[in-house]
Amino acid sequence: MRRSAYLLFAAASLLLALCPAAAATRPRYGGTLRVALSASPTSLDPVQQSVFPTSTQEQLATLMFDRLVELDQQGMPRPNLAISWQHDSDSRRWLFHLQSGVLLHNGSPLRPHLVVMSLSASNPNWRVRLQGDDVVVESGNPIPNLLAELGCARNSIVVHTEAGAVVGTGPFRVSAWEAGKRLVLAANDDYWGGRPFLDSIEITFARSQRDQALDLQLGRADVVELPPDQVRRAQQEGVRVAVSAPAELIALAFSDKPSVKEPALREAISLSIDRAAIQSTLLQKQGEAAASLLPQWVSGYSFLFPVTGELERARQLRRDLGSTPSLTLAYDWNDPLARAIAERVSVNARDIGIAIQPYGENLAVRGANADLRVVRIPLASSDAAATLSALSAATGRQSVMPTASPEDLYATDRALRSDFRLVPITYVPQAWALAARVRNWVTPRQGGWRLADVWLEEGDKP
Amino acid sequence: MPSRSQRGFLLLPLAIFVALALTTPAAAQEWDAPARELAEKIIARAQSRTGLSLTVKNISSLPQSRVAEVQRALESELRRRGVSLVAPEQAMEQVRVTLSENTSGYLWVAEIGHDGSWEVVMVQMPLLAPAERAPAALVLRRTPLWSQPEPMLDVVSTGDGGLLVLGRDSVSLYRVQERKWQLAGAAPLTHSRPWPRDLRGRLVIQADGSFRAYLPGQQCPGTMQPQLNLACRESDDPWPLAPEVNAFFSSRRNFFTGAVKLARSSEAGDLGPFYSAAMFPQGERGFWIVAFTSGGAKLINAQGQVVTAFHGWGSDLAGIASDCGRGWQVLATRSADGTLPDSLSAYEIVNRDAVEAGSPLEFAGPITAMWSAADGRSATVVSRNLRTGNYEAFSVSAVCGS
Repeated sequence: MRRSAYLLFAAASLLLALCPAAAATRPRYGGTLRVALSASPTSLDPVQQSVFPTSTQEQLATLMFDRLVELDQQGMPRPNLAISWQHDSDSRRWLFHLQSGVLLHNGSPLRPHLVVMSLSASNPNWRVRLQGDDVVVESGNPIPNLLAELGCARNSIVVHTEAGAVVGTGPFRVSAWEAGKRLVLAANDDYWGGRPFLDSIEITFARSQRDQALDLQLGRADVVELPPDQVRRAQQEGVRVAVSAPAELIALAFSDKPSVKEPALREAISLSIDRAAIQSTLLQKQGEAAASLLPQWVSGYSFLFPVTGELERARQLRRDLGSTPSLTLAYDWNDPLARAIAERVSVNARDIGIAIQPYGENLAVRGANADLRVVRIPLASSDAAATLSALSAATGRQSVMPTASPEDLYATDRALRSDFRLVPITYVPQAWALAARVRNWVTPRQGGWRLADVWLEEGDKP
Repeated sequence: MPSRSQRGFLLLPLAIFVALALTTPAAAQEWDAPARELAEKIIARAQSRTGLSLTVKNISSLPQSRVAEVQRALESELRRRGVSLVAPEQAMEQVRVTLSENTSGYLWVAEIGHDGSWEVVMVQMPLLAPAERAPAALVLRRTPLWSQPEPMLDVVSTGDGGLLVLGRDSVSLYRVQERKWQLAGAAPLTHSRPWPRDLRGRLVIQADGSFRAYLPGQQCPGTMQPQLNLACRESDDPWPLAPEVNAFFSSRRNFFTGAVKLARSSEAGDLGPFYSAAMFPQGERGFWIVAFTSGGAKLINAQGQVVTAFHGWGSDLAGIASDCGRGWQVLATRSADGTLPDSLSAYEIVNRDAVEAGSPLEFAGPITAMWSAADGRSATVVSRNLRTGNYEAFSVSAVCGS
């Protein structure tokens, strides 16, 4: 199956090569960008997502919703819905001055109290309130990296209407939505940042890798996902590929079930995993083996943690445990890479005498009842502190807000992994295969989409 | 947040300073401060100051040629603090320094090993500024005008030593005071509708010293004396395109509608939607080169007939006069989108064909704006530097020579 999908990508590249690129530098308006994805999201609300938001959920959020600030490629905060801000000396109290004249997709103005409601819903630990037309965020603890936090998708400004719909102020508005199947977005003509160049975006969900490759080859899609293990071959064959830096953590998440309550058991499983082998064979050397919660390009210190298995230590822990139960490991049944990794984890664990049975589950629809599961966690931000803070919140720990000091980040990273509830395995890039007519495609280093700036070669032929 | 006057700076003196700094023996001194900080942290964690070994490994983008400088700086700082360094096989304690990198810059990580355990200390520092490349012999000469993080649509010299910068939200006037460029005034661009995403705009200095900012659906006449003043109003009036020729600009898009008219008469025509155009003299009436929205640039004669088409050109063109070759050149961007560095080529039209005159001028990012200057002998070019993210404005002219 995977080989045939690859061959389809290669065939598509031949067609792409035959399409001459017309000469134009300035963006053209018009057209519909067609995207095919494997995910099947059931909600468009970025605030009420599952514990670990998926890349798809984050990508969709950037199309429909704005945030108070956005982070640039260097992770530096830039004004967005907030045009200026100030904070007190110990960074416990922040005041944001909002843009005026911003409209929601339903045509009503974005009032400051709606911003307060949205941020309060996504951050129960903060005290968010109005001060005149400004928004104040307060916390009992210093929040020096608040700007980076506010740049994360989960802090999108989302307004719930009385009819139960969610609306935002982003560059695209929802035109049609069939949960898990299809989403059509139309350009927001009144977008404060300038109307997007595309007229619309049509996203088809739940497409298998093979179907996506076919969609691209037959001209039914302009953008499809490319699995990390196929990136190198696709590039060699001339398929137009866009790849981010390693931006999605694949990890094992342990449940709270009694079967895995013993920390030594979780540590033994973590030590048994040969991450380097997974990265070199399963991922064809794409991405990086991960033993820390941040990729090397964000932290600068991840190389300190060994990624080869430590079998002797793992076996010693296993022996000290005595008998161990047979465990179940769930992976998303629509994710071949997650399946391959789950199977490899099972083999590694068997080598130290722990039985793990992997099985596929539709994790998009219901949570797994397994002892542990394979999760994909997109990098919340290119800011190290904000990402660690998001991971600490997602894993149900007390909110951690490290400073920007590398030693503090290093200590926090270690502390968050010390109970082995979340065990990093690898960081993979986000990769896309693109049709020739797609222009101005920028893949941010930390992954995600910037479709408001994308335009199509033929545009609307003015 | 830094003030506007802090953000703006003249590129040329800085470039010269950086180039000089990187070629002098003082270059290695930039490691002194971080080496000192790391040495102090190492000593604080080491058990003694005797029998330490030091190894340095580079996994960052720092050129290998600079790694020896770092190692020397570290050794020097450790020895200055009484540390005796020995070979690894003789060491009581090992210090492994890795020159790493993260989103904030370089990260030097030291692992101090004793009794089978390792302690870790780190020092963060900004990335090195890249060395400026030596300029090649070029027909096109580039003079830096202004640089700032925010987008620039046009930059013009005021004629009295000042510089007017048209941004997305304001017009800013800078003047030299105490040998530095200082913000002398800023006036907001008021507009009732959101700007188009690919916003374009133009500044024109009038004969009486006032100026006018042209934006999609909006025109803003202004004055600079006694202080900067601007009054914007909705307007679909045409923009100046070339001497005596005006053209209508779409109020919600990024192109000229195609309707052009002579400034002093009612004579008008329609070229079809285009991004940019350059007019140059040829015989009595002249020719046009037009970059159409439908793709490609075309040579059009005075009767409005397409004479020939040029392929591989981008959508921004500007005509300039010079003392070289046929006396005029058309500057054209490359065919690429906003994700790639751009270049500017000068062409002359010979027997209906475009002949490239000299080497292209490379930019560190896409060219986002280009307009012919008022004197007709240069063009103002704005490029977004993909490395720094800054917008950089240059005056580009053609010089004769090899």
